[in-house]
Amino acid sequence: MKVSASAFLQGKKPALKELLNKLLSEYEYASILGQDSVAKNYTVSAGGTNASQDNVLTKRGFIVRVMDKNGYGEYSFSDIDESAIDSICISIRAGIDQLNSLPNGVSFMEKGIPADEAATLAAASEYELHPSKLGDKEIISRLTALREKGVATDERMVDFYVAFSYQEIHKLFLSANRDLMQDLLWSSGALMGMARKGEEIKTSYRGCSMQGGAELIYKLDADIENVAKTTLELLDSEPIAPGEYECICDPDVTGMIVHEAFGHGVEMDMFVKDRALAQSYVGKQVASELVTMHDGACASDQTGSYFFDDEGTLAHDTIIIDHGILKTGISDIRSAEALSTPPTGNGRRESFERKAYTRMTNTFFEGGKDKVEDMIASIKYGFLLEEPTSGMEDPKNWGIQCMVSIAREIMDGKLTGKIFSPIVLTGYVPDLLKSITMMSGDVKLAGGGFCGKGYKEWVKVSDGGPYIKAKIRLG
Amino acid sequence: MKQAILNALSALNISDYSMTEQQRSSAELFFIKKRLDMRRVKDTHEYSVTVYNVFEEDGKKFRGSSTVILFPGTEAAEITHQLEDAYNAAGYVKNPYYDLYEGHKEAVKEVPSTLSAHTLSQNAELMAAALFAADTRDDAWLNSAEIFACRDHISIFASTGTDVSYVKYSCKGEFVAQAKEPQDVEQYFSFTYNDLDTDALTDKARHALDAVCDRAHATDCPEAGTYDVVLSDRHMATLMELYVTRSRAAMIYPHYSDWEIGTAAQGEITTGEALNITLMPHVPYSPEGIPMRERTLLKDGTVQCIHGTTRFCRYLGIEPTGDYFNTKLDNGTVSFDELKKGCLYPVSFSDFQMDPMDGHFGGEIRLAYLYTESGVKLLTGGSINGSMFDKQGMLTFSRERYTDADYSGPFAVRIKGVNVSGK
Repeated sequence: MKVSASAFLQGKKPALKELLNKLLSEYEYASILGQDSVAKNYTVSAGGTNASQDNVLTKRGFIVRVMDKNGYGEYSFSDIDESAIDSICISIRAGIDQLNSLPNGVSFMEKGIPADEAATLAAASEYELHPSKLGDKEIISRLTALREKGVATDERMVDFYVAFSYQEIHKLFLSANRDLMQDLLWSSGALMGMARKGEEIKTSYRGCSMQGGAELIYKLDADIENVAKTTLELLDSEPIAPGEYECICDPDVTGMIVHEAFGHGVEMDMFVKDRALAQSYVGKQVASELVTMHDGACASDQTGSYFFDDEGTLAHDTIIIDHGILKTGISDIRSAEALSTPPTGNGRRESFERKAYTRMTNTFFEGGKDKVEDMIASIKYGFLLEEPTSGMEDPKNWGIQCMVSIAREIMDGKLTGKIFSPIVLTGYVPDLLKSITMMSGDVKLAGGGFCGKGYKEWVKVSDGGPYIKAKIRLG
Repeated sequence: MKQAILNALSALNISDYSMTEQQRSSAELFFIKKRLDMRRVKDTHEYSVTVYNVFEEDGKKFRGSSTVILFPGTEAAEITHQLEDAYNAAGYVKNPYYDLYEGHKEAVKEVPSTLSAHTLSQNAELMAAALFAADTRDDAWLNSAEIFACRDHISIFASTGTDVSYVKYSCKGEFVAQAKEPQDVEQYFSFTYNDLDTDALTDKARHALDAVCDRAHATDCPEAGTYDVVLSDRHMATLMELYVTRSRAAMIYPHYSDWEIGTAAQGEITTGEALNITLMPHVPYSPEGIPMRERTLLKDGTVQCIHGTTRFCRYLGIEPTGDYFNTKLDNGTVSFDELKKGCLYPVSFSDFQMDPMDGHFGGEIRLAYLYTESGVKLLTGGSINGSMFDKQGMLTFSRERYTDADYSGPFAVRIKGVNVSGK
């Protein structure tokens, strides 16, 4: 089934068009993005049950972008009707005009008007079972049963946290030549086992996600035993001896490397700021010939999928690395203008209340031809890395900081059963990517979490790839 | 809108509810080098409504709750539909019964701030001028900056009598400092001020430019091994998250933390100082309308306060306090110059993290100073990885102090025997 359109946005569209026409008579460029999003989180844990809308992701409102003599200005507001159009125009004019006093030595950015090629679109994503159809009672009941099953796996389990969330997103984009509407449904689920080791609570986590609905809940059960087993294994984990090791990264860790270590570095607003080393490597080898990397809202059906971005650019599937050669970055409209490149549909906002930046969508390595068992067998001494917990980009210097929960020891081509935790991955991104010598065939993407620009501007993304074998510095 | 919500609640016979009205305004400036890239103005309004449903099953009494977010312009029928859905959802949320917080009506509180004397646009422009006042060097400069001048008007209204509101101004943002010689490097910095602290921002930017110049000259990675490590300023605030989080009622009720009043939070204090931490309010009222005030968290390393929302505090049989995030420390016995002798002092990480669940802290080093008898060495790369549960009895703090929006206390701490990965 397709996600239904937003009655709220459809009802506001005539007033928005009237507002746009007034703005176009006054400004060189004007566009409006309307958002109507509902997100609901369900969690069950020892702390209790929660079934509430998410106050960060549930948003309804509008943002106007205009260009005046001093460049771009934006105004975010909550409501509009025909009687408010003139007062909104006054607020836009007054608000943006008041921000024209510059510090000493600072000037306005050069102007560049978006191409704004004609496009009309009304598109919706598919789902099998809408969460509202399954209903709160059934969702809570299923999550409660999953938690009870997780807790019952072992008496050492302090808790077993289970979560399901969905986000139904409706967006409308209007400009002089564009009239776009989209309706999306993304879902994600999570399991987290918790066990005590002295004062420490050891946790193991599995997430899953999709562009779709409550059908995802039925996939959570398969991972309960694995999460519980790994949680208990962590009780016997030790800190690792720092050093460089041959490693196998599972698809989740591959995804973190793809996203944090490389993806952020090809966000082309960083090129404009002279903040990305990747800019000087376009056309050059940055990874093993085995590596082909994609980013695109239409490259996969995941939590970074959409039909147009928050600046009205249609979705792309961008090949960033082609057999080890860096081909291009990804861009929003402003960075594409500044760099004289075509926009790639990566202009995204946390919500209508926030600025648009170049952001990733679904980012992943293509699969290879190796089997995971052959990859493990090829290692004399090293580690299988699992469960990424966090990562931070360093586009300027291509430094890596990624943290994972689990390093499973491999000796003479076999897993020994010994686990080290927690692990910090560091090093130089091209060194790591060029050291990739094996890649498995299957590609898996996951989008359970959020991506920030630095420490803010959270948006849903997915990332992943195959198992990869590489040399990595662990600490 | 508020009356429309109250009418719907009444029509649905929902007797227990709370409502938070948020009116947020901001003026925002975005710079790339010395050019203004974007101006933004925000003026938004929303209502967060929590409805409670008390029910019994198999002789047990429950209080479920569910929250919906409502916006201006929402039709009355949709408001009713959303609240009815939330009330039904709350009927499946089988959380043990507890009594709601009972507040009362109070006059609007304006958090005192010198920012309130100006418009948001003026605040943004004054802070921008303060930031760029430091950008005068030839060897380092501001690569980019974002400034958000904000005004939040929050009103909290509940069926149990709470009717409070406050206005809070702030100015926050981030900037990236860059140096090109001998290496092209950058460092990220963020700031939050609750006053028009232009001098503080200029100082911060000057120090940032000094630091990025040092990073430009740092080429060596530390030798892998064990070091006495010094952490300072923002990293101090991050370390304290361990104590703030482990003392939350929401962590104690599900047994993620076994702390109680009187727990020796630092364990055995061997060679270090006992912690004295005060919880500081970050807003006048918690989201439930509970007045926030200073509360002693740790005295000589011993837990004095468990803090949290009404539900978890009631479950633990203690007074609801609201959740706290900000800390003030009284510690500090050694001068910073003495503290850092013989230590590795990382001043910048890719992302310094403290995990309150397992006590581990760590991060990849962007810039560190290694103090040895032969001098100071600039280092970059590698990482630190330690457990506060192992190290918290061996903490020594500087006499010099540091204050940020969420932390006031010693500028630095020395932690003994931390694992460092490197060459």
